[in-house]
Amino acid sequence: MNRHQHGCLTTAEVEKLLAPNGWPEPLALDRCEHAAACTPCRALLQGAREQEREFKDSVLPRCLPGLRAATESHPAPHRWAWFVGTAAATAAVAVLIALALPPAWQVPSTGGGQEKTVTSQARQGDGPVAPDTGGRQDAAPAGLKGPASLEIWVKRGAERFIWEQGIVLRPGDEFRVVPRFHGQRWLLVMGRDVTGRTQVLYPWGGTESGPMPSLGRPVPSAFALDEAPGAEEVVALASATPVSVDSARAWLAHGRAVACGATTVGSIDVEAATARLLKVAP
Amino acid sequence: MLSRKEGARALELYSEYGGLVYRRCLRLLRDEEAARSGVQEVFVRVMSRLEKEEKVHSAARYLFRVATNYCLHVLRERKRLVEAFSWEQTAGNAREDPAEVVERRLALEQALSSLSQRERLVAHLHFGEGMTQAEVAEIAGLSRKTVCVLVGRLRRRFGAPATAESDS
Repeated sequence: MNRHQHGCLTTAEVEKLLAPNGWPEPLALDRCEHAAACTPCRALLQGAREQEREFKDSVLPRCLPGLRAATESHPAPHRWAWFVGTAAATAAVAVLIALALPPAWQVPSTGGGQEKTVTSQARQGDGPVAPDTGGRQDAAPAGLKGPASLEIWVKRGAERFIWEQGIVLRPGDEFRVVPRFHGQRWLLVMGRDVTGRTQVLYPWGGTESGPMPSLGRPVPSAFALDEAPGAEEVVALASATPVSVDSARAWLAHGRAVACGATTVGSIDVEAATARLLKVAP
Repeated sequence: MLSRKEGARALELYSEYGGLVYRRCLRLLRDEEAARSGVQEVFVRVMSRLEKEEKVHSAARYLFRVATNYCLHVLRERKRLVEAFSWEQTAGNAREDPAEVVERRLALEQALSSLSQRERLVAHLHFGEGMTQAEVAEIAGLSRKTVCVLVGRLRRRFGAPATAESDS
């Protein structure tokens, strides 16, 4: 028996809806639409969300100390052997090369020290100060701060909540977008509806990326969902230099479903994060 | 010892994807307590392989696979591997002799136990979870062709009926 033959979500697809950032390919748009419309699938998603909540409320606090202790005591027996072996081999090769080369050969200067200084100044500049447009491609900091993501704050009448994967929204719901990127200076947020029509959400009506808001702050303006049913994607592109809306549109129209993570838009390296909002009439 | 970066990564993975592993363990082991210790076991296993394993962008797929393998291993130890497969529900009907049903179940348990870890994972994902071969290939980290061959072999071995997907 195959759940796909009945059109219903498999466990892997449920997981893709709940935590899309950890998968190389996001769930296809038609499957998202099915999840929004199918009652058993919605119940399945609801159950999975409850288990997630149960995990975060009761399992995570209990297990985290144990895991923390394990990370401090976990042995890595072969690391030194690898390190010593690699270092010895590298040294041997270097000695052989040095002996083989003529004495006049010298390594040319690359000016690497200057580049490092520029990078470190750029990182220190994080924050509300208007970013420099000197065309630098700042490297993202080491991945200790977690992957890039989008948080969606939803307002439905008097109710306010943070959207999670699998929560179905309704036409008229208002939302704000909170980008969570580390070390990027420019941000472009676009919306794409089920027909493929795109719209620039931030900077509103702009033609290229705007300055990145402070971490944890929403982009200006709230947005209301229209009547059209289906999935609406919110795509945020964070970069070291501004990305033009035209190149972002071309990238989005390229056909492939938008994945989260590092990619290239036009010729600019960007970090992308996507929220796929499912919308059905109440 | 894990480096500080690896330790941070392990804790990050745990906070981000612990729920996924918990759901997997709960679904397969059907016991909250076993699922809780399963989560811890899976992450301790993962920590030792952090350096060589896949990148963060496919962490969920990797943890899904490791958690499933862990649970199948536990079920095998408990001699309850059949429970991970939906075949169990169609193993018998009310008119059958209970002794025959038990005997057939034991034979099936033994046959499943004799599979390699890879075959067991593919069998569970395809026949137990009802995933397509493409999905199985994505999660198991195998090529579609390999999955197709394995599924065909398992079908012949267990006499499972062919589906439209495998026919095509």
